[in-house]
Amino acid sequence: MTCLVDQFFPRVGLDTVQILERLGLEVHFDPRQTCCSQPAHNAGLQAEAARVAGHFLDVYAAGREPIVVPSGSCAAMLKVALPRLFGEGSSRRDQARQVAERVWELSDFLVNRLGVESTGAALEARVAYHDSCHSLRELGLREEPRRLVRAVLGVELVELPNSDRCCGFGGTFSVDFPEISVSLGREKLDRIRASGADWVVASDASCLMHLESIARACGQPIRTMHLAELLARRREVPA
Amino acid sequence: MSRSRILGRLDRLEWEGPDLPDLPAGAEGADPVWRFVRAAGEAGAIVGDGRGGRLEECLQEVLRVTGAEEIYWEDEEALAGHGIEYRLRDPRAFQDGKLVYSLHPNGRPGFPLLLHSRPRTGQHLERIGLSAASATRGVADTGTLLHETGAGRGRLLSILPPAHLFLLRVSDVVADAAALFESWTPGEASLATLVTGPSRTADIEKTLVIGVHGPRQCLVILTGS
Amino acid sequence: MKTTTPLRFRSNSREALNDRQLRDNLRHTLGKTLHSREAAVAELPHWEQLRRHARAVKLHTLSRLGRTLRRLEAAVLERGGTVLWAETAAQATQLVLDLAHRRDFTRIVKSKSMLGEEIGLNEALERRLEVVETDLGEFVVQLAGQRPSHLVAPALHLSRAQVAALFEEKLEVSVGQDVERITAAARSIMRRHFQRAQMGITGVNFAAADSGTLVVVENEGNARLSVSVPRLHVAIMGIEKVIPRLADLSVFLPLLIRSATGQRITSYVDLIQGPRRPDEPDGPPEFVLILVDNGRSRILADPALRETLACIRCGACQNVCPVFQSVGGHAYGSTYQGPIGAILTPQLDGVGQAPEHPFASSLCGACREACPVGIPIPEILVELRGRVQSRKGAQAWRIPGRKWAFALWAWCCSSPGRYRRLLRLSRRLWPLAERLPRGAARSWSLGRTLPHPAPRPFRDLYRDRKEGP
Repeated sequence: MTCLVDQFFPRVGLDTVQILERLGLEVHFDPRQTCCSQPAHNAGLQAEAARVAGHFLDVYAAGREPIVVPSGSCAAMLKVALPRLFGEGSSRRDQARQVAERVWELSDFLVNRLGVESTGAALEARVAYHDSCHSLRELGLREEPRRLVRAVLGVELVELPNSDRCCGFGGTFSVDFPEISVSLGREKLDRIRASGADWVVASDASCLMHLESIARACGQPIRTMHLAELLARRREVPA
Repeated sequence: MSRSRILGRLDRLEWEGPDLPDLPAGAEGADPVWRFVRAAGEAGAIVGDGRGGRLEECLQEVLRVTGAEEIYWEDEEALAGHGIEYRLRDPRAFQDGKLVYSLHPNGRPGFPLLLHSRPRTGQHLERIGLSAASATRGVADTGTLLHETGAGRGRLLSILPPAHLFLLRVSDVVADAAALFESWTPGEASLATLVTGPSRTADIEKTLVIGVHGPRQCLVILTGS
Repeated sequence: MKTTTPLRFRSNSREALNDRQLRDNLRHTLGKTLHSREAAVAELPHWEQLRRHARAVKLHTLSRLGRTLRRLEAAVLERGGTVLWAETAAQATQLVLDLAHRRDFTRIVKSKSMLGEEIGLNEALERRLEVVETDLGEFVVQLAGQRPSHLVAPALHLSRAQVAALFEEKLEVSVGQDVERITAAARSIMRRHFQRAQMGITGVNFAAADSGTLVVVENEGNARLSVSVPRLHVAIMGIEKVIPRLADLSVFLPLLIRSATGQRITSYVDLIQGPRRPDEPDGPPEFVLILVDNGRSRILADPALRETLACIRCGACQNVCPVFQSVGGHAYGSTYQGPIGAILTPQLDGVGQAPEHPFASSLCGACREACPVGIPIPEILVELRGRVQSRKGAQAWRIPGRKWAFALWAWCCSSPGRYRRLLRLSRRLWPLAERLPRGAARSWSLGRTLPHPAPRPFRDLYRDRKEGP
């Protein structure tokens, strides 16, 4: 589970568990886990990142089961960047490589590992899917989340123009260069509003948090939903 | 001093890099001539087919399109390769102190259009409205012509005038750039230029403008059989 | 060009964001560039294969650069050229000055060269000689007394109205706001300069070691004129531009050109092979190639960074970069801008000179995706971020307390118990964060509301769920 979801969006975590359990899987959450180390890695602080990554490996290296992450960004960190934190030939690096093999971003896991497209979810709405950069470019997940969204009963998927363009969050970038970050977010919001979508769905809570915070500050809130929340959503039964 | 210091540093820095990959093989696409014509046209060149006895007609058309009265040509030896026989015509052999030939394509009088002049000065070149040269190769993929300098063939005549004509033998058309470098290696020429269409710029607002420093018109006549 | 005070991307970028005209110009022009690049790349089904080939050639060459340069030098000498070497920017400009002085040359035409910008060539020459930039975009930028804002489109930041006003002011020609008339005016002015020029300076896109051929890629024809009219042609190139075989152009030309302008090929690709031969009617009797290191061998010595030198200066990373799209090139204050500038500038000038550059990216990865030679720009950015923060000295740019905060955070995150305590504490302190006069929460709140932690974290909810009510 990602630390952002843990602290800010626990709903996303619960929904992820629910989706997987409904598909008949046994889900474990190890409470010893903390963070994937990405914040330090992206800040360029590799020693600090390696320390946190080491802890992640201590928690997860022993198992063999797949590790499912409801975030493209954290999954990319674990799959792509983690091994590089450790010196070539070190035992940590080998360990990180093995763990990386087991890490799956949620949509990747559902579509490519389980062969699932429909999670039985339903929502009457026009939904825009926002590509988070790491999910799209580091993990190459473009069609997977879209297929899942399309399979949700009642959903009409609308494509955002320039959907591959960054929303401006970028971790520490968002506070190092807040003006540029917000400016990019506003452009993304303009395209979202123009699309006529009722909801914006993404595989990363961080992008959504950024976009939502800008929309609120402008006094024009938008409705955002993590992919897991959408996929877990059941038709509301009238009372 | 600098040389040995730089190279000394570089020599100490060598590492095990990747191998040099094999060169890509040239394509053998069907009908390269037709593809050349289309690509050159898309790049803004005007292409005429001078084969089958239509060379003269094409030259007339080039004059009409460019509004020029004469075509300046430097390299007389290359003319024969395009099926143009010529002979020196008459009294205009010396003009303004320059040796000037007046040529008849295919030896027929009444068509004194190709001139050959040397020596010349920059100012003289500035007044020329249309120049011509033989292209060493044509590249079908991109509609590109290879121009080479050489004995009696300079750099300026193909770049200063507002219009430039290439004569291209169809047997010299290759499929793509890989095929070009398979069949051609730089010889004696001090400057070879791959020319595709007219001079252009998009430096202001990415708006295309034709004819900045070089020719506004790029014309091609295919020769041979 | 070396600067003495560190570049300040952050404050420059704020100004750029507020410049309406600039942002309109960027949006308008970059939009067109992106479309044409995309279409041009999509036309080639084997694009990825070309990228892999080019990358292998570049890395192969870099791994044995000294040897390849020796072969290039021998081939150029064979063709009657002269080869000079410069370790630093100052040496390089001095070599050019000496070439002019020894021949009493005072009038120079120059065609686009990023290396020229890097070593401050114009500034050095203009003190005593007449130097005219002949590429239209460069000419405009020179008239404006500015520096290029993009690798390929130097005047990207200016609109046609701004250029027209500049022509009227500096050249006293009336051109309306018509790009055709602007171009025609530039052509006739430039022809006069070409006629008078004694020395032509060009950059180099590629230099083939096997044939001694220097390759210049252009659309306008100004490079052709620069190497044809004057009596001396001087080509300047960074040592990393050499490639082993001329025939690799069949890969490099489409990669460079489609990435840069979206064309299939440019109007001209000049293959320069020395001075005029005795039987040729024109061309420069003298040809000099200047090979410039200026920090490149230092970059090469660093395995974590050296792939930076594979860059072929196509500008695609700039065009696709959301940060560059927002603030333009001048905000970087350096010769090289956008993603490639963010990694190259700190390496050329030292991280202390451009401490903010590596941070000026959301790490979205669009640059690496667009790069025709696959330079891992985000990874190099991250590497440089670490170096900026570990650098001692007054010039290092450190976000106050960040390293400490991350050290503390890492300490907490490497133990479940400490992590829980950190979370509990931060939840309690959260309301205070908003009120701090500075810090991350304050920066976040510029244009954004501050989100609040959920009443209970996932781990607690999950435990409850497991254990049942």
